[in-house]
Amino acid sequence: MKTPETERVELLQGTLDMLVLQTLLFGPCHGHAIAKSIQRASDDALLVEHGSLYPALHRLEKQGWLTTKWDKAPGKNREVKYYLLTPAGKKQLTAVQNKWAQLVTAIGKVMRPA
Amino acid sequence: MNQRERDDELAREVRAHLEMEAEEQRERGLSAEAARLAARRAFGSQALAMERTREVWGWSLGEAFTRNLRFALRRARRSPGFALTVALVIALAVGVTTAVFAVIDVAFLKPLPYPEPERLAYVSVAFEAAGRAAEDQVLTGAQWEVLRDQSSLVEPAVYSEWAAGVNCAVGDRALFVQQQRVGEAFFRVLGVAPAMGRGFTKEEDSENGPRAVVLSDSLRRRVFGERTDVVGEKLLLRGEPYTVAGVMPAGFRSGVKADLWTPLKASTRGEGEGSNYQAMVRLKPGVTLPAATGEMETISKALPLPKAGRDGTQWVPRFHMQSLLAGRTADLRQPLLLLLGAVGMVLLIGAVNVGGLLLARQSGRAAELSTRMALGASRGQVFRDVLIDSMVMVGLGGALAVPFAYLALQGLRSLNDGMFSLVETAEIDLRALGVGFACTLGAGVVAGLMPAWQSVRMTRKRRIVPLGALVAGQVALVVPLLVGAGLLGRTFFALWSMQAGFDPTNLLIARISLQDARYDSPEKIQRLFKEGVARIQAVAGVEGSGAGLTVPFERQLNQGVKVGAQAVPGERARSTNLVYATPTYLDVLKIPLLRGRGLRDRDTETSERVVVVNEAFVRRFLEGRDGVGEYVRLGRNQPVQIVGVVGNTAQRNSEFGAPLAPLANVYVPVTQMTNFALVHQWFSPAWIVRSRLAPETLGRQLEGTMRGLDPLLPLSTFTTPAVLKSETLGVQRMLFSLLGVLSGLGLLLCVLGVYGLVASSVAERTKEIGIRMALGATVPGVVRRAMRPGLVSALVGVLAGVPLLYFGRTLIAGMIHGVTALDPLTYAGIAVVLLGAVGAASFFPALALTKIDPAVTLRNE
Repeated sequence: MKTPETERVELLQGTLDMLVLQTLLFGPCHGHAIAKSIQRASDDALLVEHGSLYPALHRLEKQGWLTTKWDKAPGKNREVKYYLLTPAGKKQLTAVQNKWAQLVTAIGKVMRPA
Repeated sequence: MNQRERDDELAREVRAHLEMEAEEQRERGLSAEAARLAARRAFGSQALAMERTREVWGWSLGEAFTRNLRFALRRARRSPGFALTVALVIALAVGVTTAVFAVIDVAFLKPLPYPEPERLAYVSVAFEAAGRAAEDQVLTGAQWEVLRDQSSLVEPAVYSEWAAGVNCAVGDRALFVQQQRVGEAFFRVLGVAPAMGRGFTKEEDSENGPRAVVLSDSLRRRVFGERTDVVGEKLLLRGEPYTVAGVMPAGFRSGVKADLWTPLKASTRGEGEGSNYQAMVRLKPGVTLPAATGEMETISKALPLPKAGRDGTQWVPRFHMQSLLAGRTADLRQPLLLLLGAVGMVLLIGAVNVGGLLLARQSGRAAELSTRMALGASRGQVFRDVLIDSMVMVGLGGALAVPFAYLALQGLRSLNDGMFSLVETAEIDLRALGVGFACTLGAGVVAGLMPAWQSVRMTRKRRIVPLGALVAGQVALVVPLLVGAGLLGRTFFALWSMQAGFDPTNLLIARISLQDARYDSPEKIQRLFKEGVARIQAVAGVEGSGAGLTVPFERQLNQGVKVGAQAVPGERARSTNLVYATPTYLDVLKIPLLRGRGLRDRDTETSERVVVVNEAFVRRFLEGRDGVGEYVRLGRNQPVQIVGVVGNTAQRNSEFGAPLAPLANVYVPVTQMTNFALVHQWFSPAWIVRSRLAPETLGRQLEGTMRGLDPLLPLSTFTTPAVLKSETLGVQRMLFSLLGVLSGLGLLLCVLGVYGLVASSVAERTKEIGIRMALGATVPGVVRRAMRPGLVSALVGVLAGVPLLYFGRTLIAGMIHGVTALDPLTYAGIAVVLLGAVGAASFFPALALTKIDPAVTLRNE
């Protein structure tokens, strides 16, 4: 189901890193698949400009939260770069998830006072 | 992983991404072309994504450097004129500094090319009396014997630092070579053994010992080619047969330019009566310097006390040890320090000048830099970029400085003209290049920090360092340079224009060495002169000829003199110059006769002993009496009568700062001269010819004439009084030229600085001035106003430069003559030059204001 253009939301600053980590929790993935996966998981609500994914991926790699390896794509005759979550990355994901949950709760309280 | 690999990988990654996306779109039914476009659209800007990704990884130091360098070079290319100006200023300043350092390096820093040079010392005799110290002297024969016989911790060697040109004949080849006389221990003490054969034996170094000679490698090659079995070969030196005892290794330097060495045969008589011997020592193994110094103090007590001075002062002599290098280069120390100070100033002026140029340009880049900062460049990045920009231009100058340094050293060598053999050995080596590099780096930091700092203080409108202050700084630095050049110039011209006392035009001088075994008696020498003069006189086109021991402008023979016919108890000999001369000598030189008569043919061995003296002699020794008819005694000889008084001539003086002076002189008839052997050891007498013929033509004829007289007596190269004078004033000319060039360079930079200052202030204030003019300001008034910053900074600079003069005083003292350090004419001249230059540099850019149209300015408002 495709979301109309007008209902798409811009990613909040800093949340892309969290989404990437979350996506990789299910196994190694290459850049294109990560972008698709985020779009699919959000029912196309989240607009990820594919290009903006790469700075995030490399930033996470530099932090040591991801590792990479080049491998054959299944069914394709082409090498692609796979990203894998490291143990440190998993820990980081837990941390940002908690923070995110706190933030959502806090913002929710402000926006919809009980 | 380096930058390039990471870039490649990222490109592959992105390409794979786009292809996968395009494939997906095709599967949805889009055409290949449309799918590709859709993939690109979904990706967004590839360039931006890749740039952001690269930024994630940052830059390694090396990568950042090369990237910045590339950008800086690109920016420099965009304004080539500016970059070239900066580079040239630095290249000139660093180039001359490097060249001067190369000379200073060999003079003071580089160890001498002998084994364990730190164990070598130069020994002179210092005189002290009641807390005062006189100048060091080299040793007399008696002093040398004290050093030789009483020292036990050092091995001493004696030598003469004065190489003399002599005739050398090998087979039928005649050569004019430089001979240095050294003691038996000389080569051993230096620690250099002959490459072939041996050095001198004690027997050879004693009176009437066998005649032995040691050759330099270059002379061996010149004479014997590639032959190596030259030991034992015979050659004629000054007409006497010598045997080759050894050959020194190639590249051996004894400290003076010498082609061969003969034993000194140091003695306490003859030349040994005066201070004529240099001495050096090598510390024996295990001996420390303090121990050796202590021993010198002890044995100094054995030095004979000199007679008390005229005022009753009793000078006490003692041995003074210093490093051999310092002893050899003592004469060079002051001029080189002066030169070092001068190039240091020029370097500093250059750096400040470039700093001003860069700072002025910075205002033009303000817009670009604030845009970059607005786009997120950090202050650090901007600071670094601006600094690197400056460094690159300065570094370019540093690279250009290398050829400049070679040129400058070439110039130094040609100015030196063989005066100091040491300068010839200076070269632009790695040490000099290292110093040049350090200077470049220093200049780059000095010049680059100001604009870099300014760039990150963009919000402040004012400059962190006002351009005016930089200009004032340059002017302050150039003031001592100009004063130094002015004083040295006045010294040089005072000496140059000193009354010669004779007519130097159309004169040709040729030397012969009479240190020749065949001329061993006064009769033979006198006959040679008589016949020679007569034969030369007979040559067509020759107006006159004469001969004498020396000619004016040269160093003369020193002679002790006592006034009066009878010895007086307690009298002491004073020192005059002495020239033996043929009867025509005074006439051919046109030295004017003032009283009495000149030298005549009738003054012979048997006639009454007579001399002619000059005006300075009369004033110095005869208290200004008429002089004619009085008697004087020369050395230990019988009284001689003064028969005539002639005018003074300019003669070479031993004083370093004033090498020409109208000294007291005695002219002795050659027929009445006796001690030829001694004086011919030091001097080669001169034939003097006055003729309007071209020197080459005359020279050939003279050579022919003299060959007819004695085929084995070669004439040296011909010279003229002008050449002699310029040789005598060589040091003064060199110093004046160097300071002149350096101060000219400094002044040029100052003028550029003032010009830039006024031009930039005019450019910044065009609008304001236009309005002023619209409100009724006159053009002259506006121009005057615009010139003001230039003139004010120059004035401030001059005031700031005056204290620097105080420090420069000691450097120049002793090198100026005929002027005082506060010479008003020099200062007035410099004021005129500086004012003129600064005025012109302010006036021309201010003139641009006359082109402002007030109407246009108002319309633009």
